[in-house]
Amino acid sequence: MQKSSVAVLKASSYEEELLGLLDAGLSEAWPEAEKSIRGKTILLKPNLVEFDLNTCINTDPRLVLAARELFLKRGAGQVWIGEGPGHRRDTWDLADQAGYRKIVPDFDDRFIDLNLDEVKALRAYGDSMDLYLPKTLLNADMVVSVAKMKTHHWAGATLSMKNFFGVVPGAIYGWPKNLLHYQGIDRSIVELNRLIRNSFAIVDGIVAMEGNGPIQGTPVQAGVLVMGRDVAAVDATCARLMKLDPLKIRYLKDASALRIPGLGAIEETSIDQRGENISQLARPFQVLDEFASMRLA
Amino acid sequence: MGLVESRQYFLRSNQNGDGGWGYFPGRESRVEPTCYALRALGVSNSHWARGLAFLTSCQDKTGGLAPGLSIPGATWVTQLAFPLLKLGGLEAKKLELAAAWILNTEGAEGTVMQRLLHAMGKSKVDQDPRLRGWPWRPDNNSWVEPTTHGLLALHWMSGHAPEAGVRYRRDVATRMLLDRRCSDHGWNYGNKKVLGEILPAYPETTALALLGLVSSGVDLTASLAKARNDLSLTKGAYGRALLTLALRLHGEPVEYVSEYESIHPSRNLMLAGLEVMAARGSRENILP
Repeated sequence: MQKSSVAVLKASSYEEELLGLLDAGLSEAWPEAEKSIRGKTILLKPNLVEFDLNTCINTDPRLVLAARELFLKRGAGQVWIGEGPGHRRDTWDLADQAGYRKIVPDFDDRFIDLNLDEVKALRAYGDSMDLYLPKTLLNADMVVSVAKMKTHHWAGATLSMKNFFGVVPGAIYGWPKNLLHYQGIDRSIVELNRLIRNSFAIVDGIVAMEGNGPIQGTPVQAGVLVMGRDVAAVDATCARLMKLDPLKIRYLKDASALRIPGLGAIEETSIDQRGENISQLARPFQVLDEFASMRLA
Repeated sequence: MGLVESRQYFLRSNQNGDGGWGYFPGRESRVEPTCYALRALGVSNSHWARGLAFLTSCQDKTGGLAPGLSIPGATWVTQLAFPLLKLGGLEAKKLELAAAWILNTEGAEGTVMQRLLHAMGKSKVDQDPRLRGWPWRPDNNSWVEPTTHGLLALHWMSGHAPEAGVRYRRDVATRMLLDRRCSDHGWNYGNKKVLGEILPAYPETTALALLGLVSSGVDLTASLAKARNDLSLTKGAYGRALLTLALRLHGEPVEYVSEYESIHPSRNLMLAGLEVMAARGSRENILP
């Protein structure tokens, strides 16, 4: 079975030349990327949740801008940025507060509020129901989860796979998107990633969050970016960088069990890890007591 | 062109052929932006009848309204639209069906296990599960925004629903909103504490809860002070418009000031409608 490639990049600050780093990371993680990108429509899905000056809840806009430039440089026809926050309805204000409108030059013309987008139904959750998803997402040739590396008080960790909660439209499911909790958080994470198959992941771990994430945790200078085509492999690598055992993160195990090609390589032996050595960058993230058993020895 | 005129022009220019409005120009009509557009444009104009026709076309056989014609299944937009359906003179039978849908739809919390955990102080969230408001969709939990619109809809139900049922829902939903109030006296989407951590209020949801509690007789002094303070600090147009509207409906002399002279750069039609409502500060179309 072919291994999933994941690139680990050292990045100590958002002031670094992020485009160059991402460019190198894309070449490592997906050498043949260009033919899948050229002329295509790419949707970048950052993690834009809430704003709190004292912590680091959201994907840094400088990384989102660099990701946008990366895909344009590699020949993408169009690169959109889309998000549907789960608690806040004023997505524009949130983007303003989080610095997106200041940092991304043409943000107003490039941003789609996925909460309010037109939708299309897909059969989901074991064919038991229709799940409405934004047309911008479904019409994109590729969706890039530009996620934040954070601990999570319900799921253990939120990385590129959990980031797709933000594509579920609030105008249909509300604020919060209660349906996802009723169906089970882990199950919903896996289901969304099963449905969004043409994806790529970039995880912002330059400044990450530990403790009571994803909103009230503590910033931690992890100094790392992680990229790859197999979102579960990327998240498993992030977990190891956080010194968490990916085999104990339920949604990663469940995604792996589906055995879908290109999704779910979470064992170390099934990942072709490129770039920096994990052991030199890994650091133990603080987690809530109930997730203590997830810690790697 | 003034603030109200520019937003109204934007709305008038972007009514869809089916009579409704989308969230953005050229997008599929939905009940929510249509309700805000109709409230902003007022009755007795050429847009009103077509807009109402769109709303009524979204009513299904349960009596509730779906969010849009391509999205079947009645949701919380039923209570948002109810006052407009009544103002628009929808036939009594259909109004009664909509009222019954609203009265019969409540949050799904309150299971035996939830009550037990709450009583033992072991619930992960600090909510009294006996107090049910309205959910975004049937069979989900109660949250602040749909409960606010449920409470506002109850004001319009006279003659269309049993008075006892209306009184009961008003009482429990009012207590639910007060139970969900954050320690800073405002509201977020409806969780004041999760896993022992106190969560902050948001400006827009504080405003929404205050709208739902208009004429409730509850002492809201601290929450109104919180809303005034939020208004002085909030930059976002959605939060500012809702705070202004809520404070004005509570009798406070505040004016809506927008950062943008012309329409908001998001080109959000629902926001444009809300800005008109805030600038006017009128109870018309919100309370009977």
